[in-house]
Amino acid sequence: MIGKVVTDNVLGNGIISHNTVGGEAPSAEDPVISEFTITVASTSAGGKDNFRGYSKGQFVGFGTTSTDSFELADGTTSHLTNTSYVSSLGGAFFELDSGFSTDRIDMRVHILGATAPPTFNDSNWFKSLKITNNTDSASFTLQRSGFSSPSTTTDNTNCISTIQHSNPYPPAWGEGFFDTGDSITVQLRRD
Amino acid sequence: MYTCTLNPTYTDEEFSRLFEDSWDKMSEQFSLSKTDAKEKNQKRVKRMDQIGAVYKDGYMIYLFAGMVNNNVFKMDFALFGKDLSGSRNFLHDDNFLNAINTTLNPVYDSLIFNPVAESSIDSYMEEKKEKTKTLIGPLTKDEPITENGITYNVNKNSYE
Repeated sequence: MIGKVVTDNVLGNGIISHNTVGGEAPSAEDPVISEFTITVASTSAGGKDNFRGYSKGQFVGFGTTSTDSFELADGTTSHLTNTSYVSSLGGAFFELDSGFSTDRIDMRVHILGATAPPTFNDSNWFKSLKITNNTDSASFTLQRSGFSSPSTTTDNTNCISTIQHSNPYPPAWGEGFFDTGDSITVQLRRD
Repeated sequence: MYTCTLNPTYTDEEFSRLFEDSWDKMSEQFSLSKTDAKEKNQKRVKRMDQIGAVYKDGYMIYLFAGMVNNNVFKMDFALFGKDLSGSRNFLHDDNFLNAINTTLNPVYDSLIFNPVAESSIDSYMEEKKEKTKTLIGPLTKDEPITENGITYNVNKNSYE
């Protein structure tokens, strides 16, 4: 957290002048890069796979979010509600409850004004994601290193990049973490 | 005597029995081992929007579950067990299908069946297509879709 050094000058008659004299107060770096909150909805394309979470799409979208955007560690803004779709898609965070294969969590980063995301590492993206189910008062953490490398699509102006984490749930959450109507907060963290 | 119950209470043993009975037909669809597929689906079913079961003379022979959107029930998972005599002949008994439809009809506007193309249940649904038109209602969707590399034959019947 960046701080500023402030001095107070008593000018008389109870008037105090607050002067910023510059400099930064030393402080530990905030482990939280940014966060966003979604309300879970479910959908299916018609097969056996079910999706629960939030996804912005031009034709098919589900869930809601109270957060318009969030930051990656390098300062890149990822948009959740923007409608400058790339391949009809926008930002997303959801679980895939797979019919015949392994379950996974998908995070779709939507970047405006760039045709590719920053290099996928802890410094540029995040070191971990803390996922909190506010409805159930429970949380768990996924390491970035457990996600797949980004799969990126661009319209030559903007891009979307999808990262996926297979088998995301610890045993205690084997029955899944997202249920329709749940409020989920996702924290991008440096630690 | 067939009875269909929504949101049934069932035991792990009943699920295991039906899963064992079904595995020989289901196994080719899974990329998971039998143990993992059973464990995954035992948990998965409990998260579905709607679960149902059919009993023959009080003995569970069919467990189904799926998602509900806009009052349309999509049957995503089903276990076809064997009856007390070890037979699955009930699949060809109209009373079996009648029990399901009598129970679902007042609750939902439409039903979606989406068997994996060319699976045994796909063949069964194809065979019963004319029957479901009578028992449920018009076939308002009949098309294949591909999802995650798997093709499903999606049939939607609407209750009239």
